[in-house]
Amino acid sequence: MKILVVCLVGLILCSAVTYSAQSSFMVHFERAVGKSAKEQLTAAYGGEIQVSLHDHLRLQAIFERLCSALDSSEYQYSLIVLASGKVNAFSLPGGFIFVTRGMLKLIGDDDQRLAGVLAHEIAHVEKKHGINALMRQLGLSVSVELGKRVLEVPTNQAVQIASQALIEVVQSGYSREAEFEADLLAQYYLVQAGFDPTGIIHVLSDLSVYDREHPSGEVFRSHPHIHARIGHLLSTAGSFWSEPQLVEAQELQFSSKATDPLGRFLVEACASESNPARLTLYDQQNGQQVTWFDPLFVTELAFAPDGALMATAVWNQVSWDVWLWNRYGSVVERWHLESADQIRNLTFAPDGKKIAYTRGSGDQVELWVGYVGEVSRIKVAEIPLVESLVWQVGGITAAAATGECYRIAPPAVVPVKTADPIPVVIERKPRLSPEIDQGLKDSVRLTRPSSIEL
Amino acid sequence: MDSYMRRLVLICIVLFITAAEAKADVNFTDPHRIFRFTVPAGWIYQAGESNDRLLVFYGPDTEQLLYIEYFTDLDVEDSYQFCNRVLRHFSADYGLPDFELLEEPVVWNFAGIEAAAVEYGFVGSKERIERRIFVAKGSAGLTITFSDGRPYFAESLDHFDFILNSWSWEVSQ
Repeated sequence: MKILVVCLVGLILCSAVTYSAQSSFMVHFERAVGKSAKEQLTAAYGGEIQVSLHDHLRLQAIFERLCSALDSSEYQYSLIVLASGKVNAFSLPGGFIFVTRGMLKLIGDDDQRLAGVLAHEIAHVEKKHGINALMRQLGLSVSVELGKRVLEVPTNQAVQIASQALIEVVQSGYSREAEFEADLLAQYYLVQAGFDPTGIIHVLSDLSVYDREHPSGEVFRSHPHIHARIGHLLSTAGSFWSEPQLVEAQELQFSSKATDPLGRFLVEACASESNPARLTLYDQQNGQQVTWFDPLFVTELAFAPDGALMATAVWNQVSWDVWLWNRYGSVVERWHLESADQIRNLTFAPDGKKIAYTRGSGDQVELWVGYVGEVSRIKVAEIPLVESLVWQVGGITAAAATGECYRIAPPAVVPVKTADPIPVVIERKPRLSPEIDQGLKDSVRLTRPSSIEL
Repeated sequence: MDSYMRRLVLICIVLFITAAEAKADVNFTDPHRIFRFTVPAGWIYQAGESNDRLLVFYGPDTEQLLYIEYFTDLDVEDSYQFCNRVLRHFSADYGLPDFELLEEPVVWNFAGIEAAAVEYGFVGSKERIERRIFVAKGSAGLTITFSDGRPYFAESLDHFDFILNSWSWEVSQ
C-alpha cells in the first residue's frame, strides 16, 4: 500500500514537471552515474592509456566525425582508451565511450571497423540502453523522478549505488533487442558520417573469429548474439545504397567478355553437351589451356582491376557459389552463396575490394555486392533482368535486357584525414645477431638473440 | 702461381675493393628523383624499413638515424607554418612523451628552398634528440630528420651537417 502511494505521488509530480526539466535532470543524472562508474571501470581495465600520436589523431578524427553526424544529442561525448589487452568496447550513460587496447589491436588500421565500433557504442548512449537497463535493475524510475524534485540534484549515495549496478549491467551485456537497435542506429550514424556501414559487420565477424580462437568466452559475455547481429546488419546494409535510377547508357562501356588487365589470360567458351555455358582460360604466355577450372562448372569470370584476382561463378552441383582465384590457380576465397539461381554479371569495383553480381531469373533480378576478404554479401537492389554490369567510381550501372540502364550508388565513403600533416617519429630497431655458444668438442651453437620477444 | 691461386688472389682483391667502397661516401638520389645528397661513410640505407613515403638510413653508431618522409597533400602556407603545426601536436599532452623544445623553429635557405628547422627531445624507448627540417612547396613537402640518443647527439651533428651541405634538389625550385 505504501509503495502504491509513493508511485502515485511520483506520477503526479512527474506529470507536473516540464519535459525539458525532466530531460535536463536525467542527462545530469546519467552523466553523474556514468562518471562515477567510469572511474571504477577505468581502474578495472588497467587505467587509461595514451596511444601514439598518430593513433590518437586518427581515433579523434573518426570519433569527432561520428559525434558531429548525430542529428542532435544531449550528451557531450568523450573517448577513453583503456590499457587492457582484453578485446572490448563499451559505453556509459552520459557519453563516455571506452575502447580497449586489445580491441584497437584487433581492429588494426581499418578506419571503417573502428568507426563501426565507436558508432555502436554511441548508439547505446543515444538510445539510453545503459540507464534504462540500470533503472530496470534497480527499479529506480519512480524514486529518481521523485528525488529530482525533492533534492534537485542526485545525492552522492544514490549515484554510487546506481554506478555499482551500472557496472554490472555493462559487463553482463545488453539485451538482444538493445544490441540490434544500437547496431541499426550505428549503421545510420556511419553513413551520415561518411563511413561504410559494413564496417560494423566486419568487426563483429572479427570478434566471432577471435572468440573461436580464444575460447574464454569474454567476447560473447560482453557482446552477445554476434551471429544474429551480423545477419541483421547484412540484411539492412543494402538499404543505404541508392534506389535504381534510370540513366543514359551512351558513355558507358559494357563488356560481355572478361579481359585480363595484364594481358596474359584469354577467357574462352568451352561448351560441351553437359556444360553448355562452361568457361576456361587460355594462357598466352605458355601457349596452352589452363586446367584450373577443368573439374568445375564455371560460367562467369571477372578480373580484378589490377589483375591479381579472378572471380568465377561456380555450380557446386547443389547451388551457385563465387570462387576467387589468384593468378597461380589457387582458390583464395569461396563464397558459399547457396543460391539456387545462377550467379551472373560478376563485376569488380574500381578499388578491387568488392564484387557485384546478379542473382535470380525472370523479369526481376537481385543485385548483390560481396566484399573481398570479408563476410559481407549484401543485396543492394532489385532491378529488371540484367545483361551486363559496369562498376565505376560513382556506382554500379546495370544494362537491362529491355535496353534501359540503371545506376545504383553506394553510400559515400570519405577517407579519414587528420587536420594537420603529422610526420612519423621512428626509432632504430636493434641489430639482432645470433648468440654464439661455444659447445663441446670445438662445436659452436647459434641461438636466438635473447632480445627478441616472441 | 697456378690458376687456382691466381683466382683466389683476384677474388681477394675484388672483395677488398668492394669493402673499401662500402666505407666511402656515396651519392644517393631518392626514388622519386626529387633530391640528392651524399651518404657519409658507414651510413646504410634500410630498405626493409623504407617505403614509397619514407626513406630510412642507419648510421655507424648504435642510435644514429636519418629518415626522410614525403608529403603530397599538404595544406600549409610555408615551411615555417608546416613546422609549427607539427610542433603543436608533438608538444600536446597526446604528443611525444616528455617532449622538450630545445631550439625554436628557424627559417633558412636550404639549398635554394626556404625551410624550417627545429630541435627537440623526447623519451621513446630511450631519451632521444631530433633535429628536423621541414620543407613545403605547394602541396608537396618533406621532413628530413636526424635523430640520435641524447648523450651522443651533439657529437653526431657533423654527420647531419655533412648530409645537408651535400644536399641538392633534382627538381626545379
